[in-house]
Amino acid sequence: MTPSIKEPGGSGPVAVAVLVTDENRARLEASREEWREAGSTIEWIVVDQTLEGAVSIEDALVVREPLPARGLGWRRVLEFTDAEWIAWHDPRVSGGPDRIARQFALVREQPELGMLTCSVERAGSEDATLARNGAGQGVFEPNAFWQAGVLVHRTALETIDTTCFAPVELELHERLEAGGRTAHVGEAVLSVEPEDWDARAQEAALDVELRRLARGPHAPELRVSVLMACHERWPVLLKCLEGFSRQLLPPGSLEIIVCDDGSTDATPRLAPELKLPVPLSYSHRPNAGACAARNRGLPLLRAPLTLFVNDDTIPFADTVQRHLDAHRELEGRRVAVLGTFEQPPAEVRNSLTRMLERTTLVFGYAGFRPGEVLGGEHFYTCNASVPTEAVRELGPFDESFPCFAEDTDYGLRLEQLGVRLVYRPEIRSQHYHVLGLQDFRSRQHKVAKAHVRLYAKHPAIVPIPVADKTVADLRRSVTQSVRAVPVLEAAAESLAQVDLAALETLGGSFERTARSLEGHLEELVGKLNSVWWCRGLLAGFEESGGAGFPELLERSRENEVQRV
Amino acid sequence: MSDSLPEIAVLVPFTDDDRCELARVRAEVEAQEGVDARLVLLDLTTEGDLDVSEHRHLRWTTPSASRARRRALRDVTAEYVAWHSPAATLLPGRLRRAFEALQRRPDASLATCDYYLTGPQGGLIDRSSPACMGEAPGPGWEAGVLVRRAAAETAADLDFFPSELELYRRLRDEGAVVHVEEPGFTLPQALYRQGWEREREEGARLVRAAGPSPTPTITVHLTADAGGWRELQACLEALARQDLPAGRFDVQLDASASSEDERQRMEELALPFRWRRGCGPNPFAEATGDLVFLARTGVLPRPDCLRAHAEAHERVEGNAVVFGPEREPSGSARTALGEWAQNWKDPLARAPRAALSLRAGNVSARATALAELGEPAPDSGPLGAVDLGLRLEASGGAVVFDPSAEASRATASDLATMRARVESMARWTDACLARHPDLRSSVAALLPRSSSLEAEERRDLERALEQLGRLDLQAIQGLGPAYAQTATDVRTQLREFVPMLVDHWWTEAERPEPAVPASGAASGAASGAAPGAAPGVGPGASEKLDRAAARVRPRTPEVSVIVPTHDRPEALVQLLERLGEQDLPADRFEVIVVDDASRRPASEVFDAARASYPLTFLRQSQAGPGVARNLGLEQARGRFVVFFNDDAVPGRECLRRHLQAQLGRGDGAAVLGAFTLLPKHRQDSFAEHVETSLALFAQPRMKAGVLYDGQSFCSGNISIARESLVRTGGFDESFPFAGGEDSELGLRLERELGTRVVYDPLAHCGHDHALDVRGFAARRSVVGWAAYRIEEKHRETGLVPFATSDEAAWERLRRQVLETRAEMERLVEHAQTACGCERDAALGPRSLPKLRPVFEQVATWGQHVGFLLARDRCRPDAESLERWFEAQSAGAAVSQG
Repeated sequence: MTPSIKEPGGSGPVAVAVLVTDENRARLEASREEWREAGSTIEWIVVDQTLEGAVSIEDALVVREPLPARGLGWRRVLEFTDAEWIAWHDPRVSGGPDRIARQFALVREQPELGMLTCSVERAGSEDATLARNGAGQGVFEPNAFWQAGVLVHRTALETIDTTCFAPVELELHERLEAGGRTAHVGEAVLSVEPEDWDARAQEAALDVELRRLARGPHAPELRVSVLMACHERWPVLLKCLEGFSRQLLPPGSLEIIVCDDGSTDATPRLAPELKLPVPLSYSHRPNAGACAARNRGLPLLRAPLTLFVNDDTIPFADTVQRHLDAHRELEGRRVAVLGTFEQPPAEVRNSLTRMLERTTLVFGYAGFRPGEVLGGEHFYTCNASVPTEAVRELGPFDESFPCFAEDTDYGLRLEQLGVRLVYRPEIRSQHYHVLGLQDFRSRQHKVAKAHVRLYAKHPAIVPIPVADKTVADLRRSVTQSVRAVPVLEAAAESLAQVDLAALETLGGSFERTARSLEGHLEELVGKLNSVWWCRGLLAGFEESGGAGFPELLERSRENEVQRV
Repeated sequence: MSDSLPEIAVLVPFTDDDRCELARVRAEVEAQEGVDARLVLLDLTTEGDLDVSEHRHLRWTTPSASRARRRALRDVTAEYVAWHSPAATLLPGRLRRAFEALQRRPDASLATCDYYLTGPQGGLIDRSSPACMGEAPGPGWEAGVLVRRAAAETAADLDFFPSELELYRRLRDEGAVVHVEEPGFTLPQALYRQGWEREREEGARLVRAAGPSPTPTITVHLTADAGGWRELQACLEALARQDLPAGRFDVQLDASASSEDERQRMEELALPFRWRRGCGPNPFAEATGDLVFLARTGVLPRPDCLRAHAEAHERVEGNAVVFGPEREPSGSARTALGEWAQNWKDPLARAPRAALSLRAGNVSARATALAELGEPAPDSGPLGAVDLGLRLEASGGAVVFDPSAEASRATASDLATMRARVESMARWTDACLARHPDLRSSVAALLPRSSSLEAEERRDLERALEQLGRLDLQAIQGLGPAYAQTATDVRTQLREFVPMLVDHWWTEAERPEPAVPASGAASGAASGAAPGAAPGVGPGASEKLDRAAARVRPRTPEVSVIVPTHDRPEALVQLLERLGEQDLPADRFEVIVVDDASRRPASEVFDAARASYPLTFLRQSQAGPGVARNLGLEQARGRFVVFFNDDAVPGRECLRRHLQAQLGRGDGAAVLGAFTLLPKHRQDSFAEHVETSLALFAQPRMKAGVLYDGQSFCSGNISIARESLVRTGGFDESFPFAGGEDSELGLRLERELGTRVVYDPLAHCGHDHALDVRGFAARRSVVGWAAYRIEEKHRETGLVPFATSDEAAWERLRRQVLETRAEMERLVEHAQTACGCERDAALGPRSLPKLRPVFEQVATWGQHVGFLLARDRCRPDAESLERWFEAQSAGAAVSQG
């Protein structure tokens, strides 16, 4: 039996609230339809927290909230309804209307309650105890999507925390539970598709961990400053900040310094409004390059350890802890520690991405051994920690370098200072920037061009095969390749887009084809890469007016002599 | 900007492809000096959502830039209007200079300008001048136009019509065009090259449009698919480009499947042919023409398609359904799946009966016959033509295939398109079989029965094949044996697995409830009734088409190829074989070989029956190539004549390009094609010199589209209207050698008929000739000889250095020639050896800088010898030459003594 909840006239006693993000947006229509079909007349208030902010849906009120804070989203709902009870909902969850009826029935009996949960399970799951929340009698065990089964009283909801990326729902539940104002309706069961469940389950577990840490003691002192420059990538920057806001560390261990290099997207508008669980210092200056931006952040460093990251570095929950561990283990030696920078698994289906992960064309990772001491030229600002006193001793990044060589220069200078760079593959992070062949080409060109200046400053890293190449030599090899390059590029372009995983699934001859396509791409890109480098070096020499490597090496030797 | 500056509206059409150029174009217009340039964007994008704050913005649903420019005048008040296109880059002074030019010439109303052509790296590599191009101002020229508003308003307000070119030609004929020589913009050379074909086509359309307008004899019944506005546009444009006199056809458009929005857009169309929308239940009864051509969006008739249909009907007895092939536009199959899909035929098309291959889009029949058949089958898609064909066959008509009536159709290049195509074909096939149940038994074996794939297998297979199908195998396979092997593997996988998916899609396609519930019984009855029907697959598809094609009588060729030959059997065979591979249909040209007394008669060298085209051999006693060509000319039937040397190696497109170029001109110019040495002969400095200088041919220094004087007529690879040759009497038979006889003809053509020579590198021939320096010297004396004779005959040709009457000058030249003879011998010997070394050691033309002056000296000397031979009435052959030198040295000795 479904008791009628909506009273005639005015707002009903219950309103459904939905936070729509880019993750669940695609399901919104279908979910609304499901409720409609079930005959539910409860009003819906949709809070649009997507990046684009263009959600619209029939017979539901849509409220825009550009900040990603869930607490803020839930609170916005209250402005638009008089309903006494708010039912949280997520479009990825099915079976909604019925659970509200059951929960509401309980509320009538126990009016002192502030928050009611219900069971949510992974559809098709055989072992319900593993994939279901609220399994125990009277013991609440949050799991994926537990929030989507909540009915909460508006006075309780008014007190929810508005910090971004924090487990604010869990915190509210804890508070109400302490006052005996929560209840679990076990017989009301919602279900979630397996792939959605699995993606959220880890997050839910992390939420629990984060709450445990939050309840524990504060760190005695600030331990790590995370420093990044950002430019025109608000969506990725958010993911990055989310990652660093959810580190498994005692509260007060971490600060984030974001130096905005002249973004004109949503960043300067929204970043100052962000309230994170960790201290965030955000500053915006006109575009002057990543070096200059990072340099502006250097004076702000307060912690004894500085972690350099990119705005597209997405850390794992233990990334910062592991940096700290590594420095503790290596204590007594002056070291910088480099962690990984991996493509997300979904992207490694693509042949070019997979190839770049496997080779050293972009990053040198494929050639590193765990624990190895690396040359300073492998210092990447994407996931590397340096003792702050060394940072201060070294001074700023060399702003005269164009992008793509400044961190190499920094690493080489660190090395000269006696700071060894150690590679620790257990310190992982993900890289949310997928290169197409064209992007890759222009990147290599820029890198090579920038390297001409770098080589002039650090002649020791000039690779031996090119050391005797003059501008004329480079020009000759570029000219010789002029005809072949478009042909190779056309073929590589076609090969670069293949989803190898789709072929591997079938196995057999398709698997073999996948291997040959992979091999061809590697060979072609290898050839093209040397041409692109040649062109880039040539452009670099042309810009600096140099005559090639022999002259460059000669001149730096003279400088060396003079200095001595 | 100041108010005192002249206001100029710069009209820039933007299509979807030009979006990213917007910012650049804005900046260029703002950077114009000395005028108040106002950018007016003509938004031709599909979405119509260009970001255009602070600029005038006019939105057009019309697909053509010409019409958008014309209609923009309604909303523009400026007195001067500039045309511009996003592909071009404006230079800052362009508008000011054009404006000043028009100020100086108040009677002129349109200004053009020169422009630079840029290479792939953006560097300036060439220059084009519309003023010296005659009828065709050159691709991209319109980006440099400034026109008075009043004149612009006289341009035709039509879609798919070259109204800019029409306006230009009209104003130019009135003397109202001024030209600014200073280049006004830059254009990528690649675009310039691609633009020629279109420019020529547009020229041809104007030539046709200027002719008399007959009453329509063909009605095109065009069926528009739902949601196919772009395809419909393409189809209408293809119809507008038909190579038929204006008014020969009209169009009735069946837009019943179109959306309301599409119909509104149709209201705004202004087409350059008569057309009407909508038709009754029996549309063929309403046709005004004698012939009905069934067109369909998605299938684009080639420019000569309608004409081929009309001609085919004239050449068959009784009522017939004529159909032609549907080909993919060349180069369209860039993906592996596209390659595969090209060869896919739906089940009915694989059946041995020609009527089952009929597909609306490229099918025609007589209107009276169709009207008698009554209403066409509803909802049968392109297979409606099968229905008509079967019914017409039943009433005694024939199904005829004309291979030259080509249409193009985009191939499915990805799996999703292929799937949609298969599914709709499955539905149409069902509908067709429901209407003709007696067909079931004969095609049953061809229809996919059931799918063996599980849902999950199908999904995985689709995902994998989608990946493989997108590969550009053409680009991959040429990179080495391993790559070629991979390409083969992928093709094999597609061949093996795509048919499984096709069967699956076919059987699983959503179909409406079967209209005939007792279809099983009906097909059983039909198979019982027609036991003679061929079971399974009968003869191959090509045999079926051959039979259907055999019902048409051959037609008169449009192009006559005339080839004089003398003792070069291998080269001749190669040429005749190449002519068999032309992409011009074989019944549109004929070849006449005139054997100039070869030791082994040409007709024995090549069996005329082997040729797929009409081939005639003529033979004469030795009289030189000029006489031979005249003999060929007497037999020629085509409207145009193409002369080839016997060592020419025409590219596949050569004849088609010649024909297109000729049809595109109104001025009767001769079209000279490229004639470049084959790579195997281009191994030394001398060959390199010939290819990059005027030593033998004028082409290396010629520019496409420019009109050159008549003396540039060169018989190696050239086309001209037969009538011009007949009117001038052909080659002068007193020039019996190969060399100069063609220039002489060209000179007369120009003096008598005003015929000029235009260079068209797209009509490309290779030149299979091993050159050497000694032979070159001899050839130059033939050329010198001919030059002198031409000067004697015509006077003031500029071919000889001094007047023929200037005895003293000629005697000086004679002394000089004799004095330098020994040195020339040495130089020739030296150059010969140097080039031999380069060839033998595969060094390439490395000594060219040193040898070039030598070649030039030899050329001049040889030519001088030729002048003197002609002066002394000696023939320029080797024997007479030797005798002449002996006599000269003797004479010199005598005079000295």
